[in-house]
Amino acid sequence: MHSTGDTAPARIRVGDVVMTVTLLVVFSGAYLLAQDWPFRAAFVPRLLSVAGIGFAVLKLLGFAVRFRRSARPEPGEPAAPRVRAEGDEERDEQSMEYVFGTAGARAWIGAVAWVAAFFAGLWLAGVYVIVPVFAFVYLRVAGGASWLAAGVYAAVAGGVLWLAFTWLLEVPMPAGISF
Amino acid sequence: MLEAFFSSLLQVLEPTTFLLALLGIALGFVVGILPGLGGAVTLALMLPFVYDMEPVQAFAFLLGMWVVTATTGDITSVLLGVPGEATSAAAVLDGYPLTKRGEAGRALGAVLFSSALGAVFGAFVLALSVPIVRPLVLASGPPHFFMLTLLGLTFVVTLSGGDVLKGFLMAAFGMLVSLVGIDPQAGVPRYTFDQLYLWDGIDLVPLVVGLFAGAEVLQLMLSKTSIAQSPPGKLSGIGVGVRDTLRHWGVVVRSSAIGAGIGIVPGMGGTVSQFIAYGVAQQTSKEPERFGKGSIEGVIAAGATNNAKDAGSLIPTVAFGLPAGAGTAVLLGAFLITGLNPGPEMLTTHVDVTFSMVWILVLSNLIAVAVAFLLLRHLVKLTFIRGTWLVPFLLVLLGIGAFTANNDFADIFVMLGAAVFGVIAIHWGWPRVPFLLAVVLGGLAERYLFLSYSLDGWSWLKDPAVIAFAVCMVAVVLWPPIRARRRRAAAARAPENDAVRGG
Repeated sequence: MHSTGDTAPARIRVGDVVMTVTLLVVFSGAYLLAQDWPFRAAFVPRLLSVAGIGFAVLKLLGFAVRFRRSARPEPGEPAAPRVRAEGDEERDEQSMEYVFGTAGARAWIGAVAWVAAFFAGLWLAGVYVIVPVFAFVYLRVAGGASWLAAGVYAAVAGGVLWLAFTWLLEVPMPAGISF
Repeated sequence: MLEAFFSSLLQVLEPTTFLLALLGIALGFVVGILPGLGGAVTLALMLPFVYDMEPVQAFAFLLGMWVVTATTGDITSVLLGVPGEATSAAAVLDGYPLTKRGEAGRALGAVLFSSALGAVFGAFVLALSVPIVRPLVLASGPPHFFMLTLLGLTFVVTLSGGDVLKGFLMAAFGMLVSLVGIDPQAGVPRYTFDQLYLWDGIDLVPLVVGLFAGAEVLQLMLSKTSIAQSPPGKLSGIGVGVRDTLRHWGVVVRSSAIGAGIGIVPGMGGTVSQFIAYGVAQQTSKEPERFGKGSIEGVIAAGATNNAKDAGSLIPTVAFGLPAGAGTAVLLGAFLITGLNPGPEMLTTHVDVTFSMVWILVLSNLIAVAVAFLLLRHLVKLTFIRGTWLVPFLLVLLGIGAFTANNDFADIFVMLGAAVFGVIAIHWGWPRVPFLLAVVLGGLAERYLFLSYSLDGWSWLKDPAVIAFAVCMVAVVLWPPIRARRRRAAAARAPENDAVRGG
């Protein structure tokens, strides 16, 4: 006697289909690009892209089979029971999967905007301007820190950065295109 | 020989040499904790300082620094989920989930103690294996190295758990990424889209930083909580971690052997060996389903292999002048600066220098681990700082880690692209490790393939060793589903047996 989870087809995740189709397109494009190259340059790219296309097609066939099974359940068999999809991790509340899966659109937009602002600032103004400025603004706005705490953090961050990387290690830092 | 072995210890303990080793250890300790700033980069920065040093002094300073970066890199991996080094990425997989559960002390105890044991094991291998490995390496050819790279990849693909196809797809994509750049065979730019930056290929450092650390930073920004949310208790977990390591001594020995063994193969650095050791630990574990969710065996495997591989990678460097990776390639420069010629000379005239490396490996790691244990209580407090306070610091490290690879802002874009890919992969349950490993191994596999073809045509495919490697690969792919099927069958039989016994 089998448990339901053993015999029932797993739910198809949209993300899996999107990823597989994207990779299929990438491998197909890679194969086409390799057509113009000489044999030695093209051999491995062609081999890899053909293998990739093969894996992607197999994966898509797997989805199709699962979809048919879940759409037309056999008599006496429960219809498309909800079981954990393949690759599902255990979603405890501290896991990345859980955080990414449950964060709202506003939180996502906020986080991505902060990251974009930091790296745009790094590109434009350079590390010694953006690090204290970003640290101060981020801690005040997103972290709810006091003026004093944010100011001390920003000053220490800028100072330590300069001491460690420029003065001690003499590592070149992103200077920013504005300077 | 034994006399040279012990006299080299006295050379290492000579005050100036020992002080230089301590300086190297201190630098390596800090560099290892800083994500992105790799041991190889720091070695290159410190190389000009060894011009006036004696050979043993130079290696005490450089080697002490280099091997310690691997040890302390694990601390950042476990505490912050950001690999301090590319070679510490595997420690994130289980060390960080343990930290999140409030078991940072246990994870650190295990990873540091297994690191120390791995270092001792690796040093032991280095001391004993040079005369044994030399004929073996000389007898191996490109076909064997090619098959070894494929075997390494296959091991990692099986890490994809139930869906091996996802693993193969990610690995194929990773190999495709590794082909970006000027083709070494015909000099044709491949997948460069008329971008000069891509002619040199995609650098590994920004890719690793983005793929692993980018997602962690985003998680902190989204959750706005501390890395660890469970209370730390009395941090008595350190002792538990040490005991865990002793209890799983088989994992330590196997992972150290894999680290030292893979480290010997030129080009197959710690980035490869850590995941192979991790994969083997998962396959041999009684609880493979816990891997990736906070398995102490996964932490031990990552720690043990990380330090054993350094000793392994020194074997071809010392014996044949063949650097096994970026770190040993830079270290090779130190040989030339101090007037040494790697090769047979290092096993005869300068055997004392070779043995001094063994002692430096052991002493540096033991000192670094002892210092780390003393500072652990303070280091663990980092994980209870609110996420918002860590974000600016981590974003700076992400940016600098990517930028310092080539001092090119384009590397930061690569890091951001890798971070986006990493987040998507995590969100949709696609494995990142086969992708990363394929990027590392892709170019190498292609080179070995063409070398094999140029030397023997396709006749190398009939080589018994090549066939043996192929059989191993098939077994590695088939074993997990066979084992899962047998377990299911056993589980299905269990209630029937209980019923028979009960009846």
